[in-house]
Amino acid sequence: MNKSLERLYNGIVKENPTLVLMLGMCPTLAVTTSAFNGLGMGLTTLVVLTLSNMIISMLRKVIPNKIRIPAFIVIIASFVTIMQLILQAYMPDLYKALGIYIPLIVVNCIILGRAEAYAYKNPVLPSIFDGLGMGIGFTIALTLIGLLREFLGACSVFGYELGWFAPVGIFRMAPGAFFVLALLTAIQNKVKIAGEKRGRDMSHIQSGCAKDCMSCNMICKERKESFKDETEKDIKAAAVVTEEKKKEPDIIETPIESENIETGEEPESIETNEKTETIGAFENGEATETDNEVAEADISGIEDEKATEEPVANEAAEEPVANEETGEPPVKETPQKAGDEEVEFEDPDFESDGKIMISDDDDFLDMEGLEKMMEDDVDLDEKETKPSETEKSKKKNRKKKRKDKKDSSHNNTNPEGKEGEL
Amino acid sequence: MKEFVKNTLILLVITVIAGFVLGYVYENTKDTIALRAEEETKSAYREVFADAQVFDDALLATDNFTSEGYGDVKIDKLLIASDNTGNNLGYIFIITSKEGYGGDIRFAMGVRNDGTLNGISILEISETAGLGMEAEKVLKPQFAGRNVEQFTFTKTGAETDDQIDAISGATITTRAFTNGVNLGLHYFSKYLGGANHE
Repeated sequence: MNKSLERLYNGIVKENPTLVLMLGMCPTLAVTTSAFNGLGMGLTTLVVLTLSNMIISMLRKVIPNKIRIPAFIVIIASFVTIMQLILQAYMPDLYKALGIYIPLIVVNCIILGRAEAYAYKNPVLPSIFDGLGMGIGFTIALTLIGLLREFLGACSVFGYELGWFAPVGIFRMAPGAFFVLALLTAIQNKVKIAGEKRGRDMSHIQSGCAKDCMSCNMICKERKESFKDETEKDIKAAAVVTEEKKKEPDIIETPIESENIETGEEPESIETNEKTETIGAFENGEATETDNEVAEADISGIEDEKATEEPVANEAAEEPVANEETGEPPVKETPQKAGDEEVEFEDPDFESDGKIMISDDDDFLDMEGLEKMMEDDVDLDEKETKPSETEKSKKKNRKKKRKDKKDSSHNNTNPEGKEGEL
Repeated sequence: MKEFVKNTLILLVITVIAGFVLGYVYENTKDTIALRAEEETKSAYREVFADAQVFDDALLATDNFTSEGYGDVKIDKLLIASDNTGNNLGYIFIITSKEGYGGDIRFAMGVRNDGTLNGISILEISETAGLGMEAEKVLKPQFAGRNVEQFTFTKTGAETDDQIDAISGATITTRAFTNGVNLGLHYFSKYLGGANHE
């Protein structure tokens, strides 16, 4: 029960989708010409959000990961159509006022975001309350914005004419929506700055974050936390594969030849195929900054084991590889491969042919930092020549922690990180 | 391959269930929706022709209205309004103008046999809130009870019977309504014998 209340509070206040996260701005700005329209849109969304959260949570063990998006959309679209028919039959005035925005609820990012971020991972009851909380928060926000616009634009409240002053008609039109949005943003900034001065974490304000890390490409604190588990899994997986395949020097190349870099789901298929495993780890590595380091951690893991188990024979061969990896790993590895591939991977900045889909700039902005980190790692590896199994794992953990730290510090200085999200 | 088939089946099941649920809701709401639409048009008819009881569909003499010079306006429907005893009192036109600012404007207008415009009733409008949407308040009353050949609109204050005050300086909605009403009146005088009908 506490959890349910927490969900309500979370949706209404802490992570209010409109007022705090600034999600779903499109319907917000379009329909809030009056308080009644805002209220109607909010309540319609509330019903759809709660019901779809409930059903998706009930079906979360039935819906496979790979087809979750179409399944969500079918469920959400069904509820929206049901709501549309019910409104048309029993509340025709509201139906007329909301017009095109009813069908557009289907693609409202709040609903899909909650399905993906919460309902798909949590039990039914909290999911219902999550939907209720988010819906109420959305309704309150929309009603307030509508009230403000109606008051300024028509000098009336819920259709009741006050006649106190000559209305500023533009507030009821599209430009007025942006004026109100600007006002809202100014208030948010004020709160954010005041909160930060007092040393609170205000990063969720204006973050646009639906906690939907699966389909979000941004790099943030939440994302790192949610990926921590997967990261550990990846490291283990990569280590296992390395042990099994350590005699084939070209496993490092395998990931570069893979094509589906944009999907981040490969860790799922660990049991099925050893090769995919490595591919998975590296794909993630290319897809996001966080995982990039995972990939590198894997590489150093590979070195570790090679150095441990065949120290003498590989000593000489190891050196150049290590040096290569101090640079940009995906680039430097290519010389081992066929000639035509070399050209393609020469400069990662020009890989715009769909090989690297997600936030190229972020990745490559980071390269310098990564290089430095890699240097540190390699130094460490070389110093400790024959670590035992336990030491090795400890070291890995330590390394990972260090990287996380560095990564987060780097993120804070990265100007692209937050600004790109609005 | 096995996973592929499994995923497809799961999605299929979800979609089929959703389809059945939708079908059920549709079946249970469609009568109400149809009833509402019918009521809405009936009340619109009564609004523009309060003393008539029977409304019969009539055939339109032409369906090419663009050549009449009223812009992209057409008469959707023509009804003969009569009282209980079958006396013809006048006509109701359902007019659609595509010249609105935010989509089609659809309204009903009732014309008595002596050429008096009983009034209009807006059926469908999606103009700008605070501007075109004021048509209900600003334009509608102005048309009621006037007996003129054609209307014109003005921004400087109506002086004669055939002038209509525009909603604001932006006249798109006003023009759409005026043209629509004028087409109805034009059709009335051209094809229905005009004011001398009786």
